[in-house]
Amino acid sequence: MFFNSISFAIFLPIVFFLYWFLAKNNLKVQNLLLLLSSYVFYGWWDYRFLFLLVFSTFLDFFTGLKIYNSKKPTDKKTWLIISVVINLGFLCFFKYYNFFIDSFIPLIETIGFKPHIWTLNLILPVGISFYTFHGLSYVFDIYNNKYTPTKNFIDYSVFVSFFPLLVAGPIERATHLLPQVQKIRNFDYTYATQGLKQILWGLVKKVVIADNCAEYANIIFNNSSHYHGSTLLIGALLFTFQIYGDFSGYSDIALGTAKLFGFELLMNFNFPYFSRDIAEFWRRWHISLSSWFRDYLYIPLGGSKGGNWKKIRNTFIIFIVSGFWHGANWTFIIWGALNAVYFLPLLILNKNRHNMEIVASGKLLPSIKDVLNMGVTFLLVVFGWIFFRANNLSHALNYISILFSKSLFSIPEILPGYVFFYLALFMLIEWWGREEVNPLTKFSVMPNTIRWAFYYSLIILVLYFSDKDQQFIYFQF
Amino acid sequence: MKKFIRRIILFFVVFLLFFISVAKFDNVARCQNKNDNIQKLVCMQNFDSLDILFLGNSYCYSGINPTYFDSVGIKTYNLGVATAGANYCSVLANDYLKSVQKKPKSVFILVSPMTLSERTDDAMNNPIYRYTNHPLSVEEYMFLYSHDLIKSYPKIMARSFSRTFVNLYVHFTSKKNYCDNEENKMFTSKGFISSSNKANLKEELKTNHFFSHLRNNKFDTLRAKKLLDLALALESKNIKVVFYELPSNKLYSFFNSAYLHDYASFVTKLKQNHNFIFVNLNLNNDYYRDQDHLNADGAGIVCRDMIKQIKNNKELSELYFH
Repeated sequence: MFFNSISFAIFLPIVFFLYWFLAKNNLKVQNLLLLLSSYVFYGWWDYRFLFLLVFSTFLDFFTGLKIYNSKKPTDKKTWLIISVVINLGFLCFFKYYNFFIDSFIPLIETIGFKPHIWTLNLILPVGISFYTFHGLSYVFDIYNNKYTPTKNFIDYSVFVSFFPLLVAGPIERATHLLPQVQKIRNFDYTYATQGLKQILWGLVKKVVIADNCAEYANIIFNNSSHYHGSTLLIGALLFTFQIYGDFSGYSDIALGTAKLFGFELLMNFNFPYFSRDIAEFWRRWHISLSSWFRDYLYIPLGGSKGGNWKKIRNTFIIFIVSGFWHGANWTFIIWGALNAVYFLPLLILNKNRHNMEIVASGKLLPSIKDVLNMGVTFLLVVFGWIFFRANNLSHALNYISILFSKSLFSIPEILPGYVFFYLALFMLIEWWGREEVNPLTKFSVMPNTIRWAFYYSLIILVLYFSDKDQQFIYFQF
Repeated sequence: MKKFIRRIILFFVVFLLFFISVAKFDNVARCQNKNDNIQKLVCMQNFDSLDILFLGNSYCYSGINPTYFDSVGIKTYNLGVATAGANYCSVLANDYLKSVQKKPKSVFILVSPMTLSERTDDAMNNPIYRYTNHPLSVEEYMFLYSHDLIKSYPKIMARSFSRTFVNLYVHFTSKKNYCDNEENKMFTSKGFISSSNKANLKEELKTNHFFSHLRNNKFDTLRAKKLLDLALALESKNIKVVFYELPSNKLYSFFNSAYLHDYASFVTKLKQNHNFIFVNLNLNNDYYRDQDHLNADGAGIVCRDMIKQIKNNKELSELYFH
């Protein structure tokens, strides 16, 4: 079930009313209802993979308890290893099996072997990367004595399977979400209306921005060898906004939906394209994944402690693993490595924590220096997205070679004016509301008629463009 | 909670009332609309007592030039409208019959793999039934022709909503009035929309994505049946029905083989029960404006071939020439 589908538009109100009328004042019923709804939501896509979700949930619940109850450190470690190996084993099998076979068979053949290994026609279970990381964070936190495991399987299952975050995050932490699951939720008017506004803004991002950009970005990327460099620049820019609208739109809908049920999820995007350097960009882009890798990979590896070489090694590891998490393709690995290269100068010069506040905080316009910094950071990000979007490495390199040819200065063959018009409007609203969690909150102070008229316009825009039927990009991860 | 529900209900009731009532009037500037497809609907009542009324999609309006037929004494009008399949052809035929005094001797209905695909009767982007001389509301069209549109109803209404504003603006600002025949170029072209463009790879790249969806299309027997029902309905009014197919450049290459196989079986069945004119010419890119539409030169060659086939068909030549 997709957030931008008719079935979800029917599913959500039904669950909402059952939750607040039938399950009111009863924690057990609330959680049971959320769990059943989450399984319906997931099973709508493919019920056969529900068993994998339930198995993964049970595995982490069980190993979590075992780690906690083990007295010897070696036993704790053994249970942790069991959990990590099985979790990552499933993830690697479904996500990376064919990649390893395709990448390494030619390598083995060059040294004379002719192995007979099958490639499998595997379907990637939706959300596997996300719920695996949910579960892993839980066992890691228990192992590190940061969290006491719950003994209630339903509560834990809701934490892993809560439908707003199940298929594309945000990647939650037990320390943040489980206490909310364990406490009865009471209806809060302000919170629920904030949720609806966030859902609306998420739909605008997805349907109006991402899907329109996708239409042209796909044409340009799929036929890149036939176009001028200037058109390829347009393609890269459109993909830049497509991926932002798509993924942050999904996150907004997830956060908004969770609010309707009285939950607060981790913020996943915080106006990343207004970043003044790459370090700031990574603090604002896919925050739940970046912080996951920081806490469970970067810091255990030593983080930024130690000498420069260790810092460089750790930075490359975290960015390359993060790239690889996105998919089994060398393009993602290069994208990760490229971002590490962008990041390193800031880290070595100790400038990676310079821009902690949102740009031009409390002001209407940024300074010239901020504009230049944002421009440079944005262009670096756009360049990186070329690798992310390309079908393979040679496609990316070919794209870049045409992009930086003389034809960059010719008139582009494709220039969708209406898309850029909507992009400009969208960025203006985002700029105006950049100090809020959701830019629509800015409209709260306006008179009802203006506010409602604005919301109506947004709903009509969403309906208007809702025939594009593009899937969410991050579902494939 | 009660306050929340009250506010939500109020919000959506106001929205729906405003939205649906505005969307109802998207054909307000019908006489000022620049769209060729709409202009030809405005114009069609001038062409009474026809020998042939041509129905079909954009292949029809870019491939059938009535001038050629007129030159041999066959009085025709091209009522081809973008994306028209069985539903739109029914709407158009009914509207034409209601708009004129004397019914045509024959109706030519286009068949092509495209007209039976999912990409046909596009109520979302081209709601032609709202611009006919006797307009149909979205709900009427949905009830009479396409029940499955219920899924797209909100999207269609959103398009209608935005069109209402554009059309109101045009209505109050435009000096052109296509109800006046002198302003309406369809009056002289008789519904033919000419193009001198020639197909080339660069232009094709821009529109290839449109065809990529066709690869997964399954042949829809319901659409095919609707086309046969239309033929029966017209024949019951003593109107001769002829099916025709035009050359379509690369169109066939966009469909899967199962679809084309079912399509071929359908055409064989049509040929057994109806007159069928198939213009089987192997034309190069110079005669097409893109992947699937004929240009003006292509239309010329095709129309001459059709006239030849009509003359060679005893039943049809008697109908038009005696």
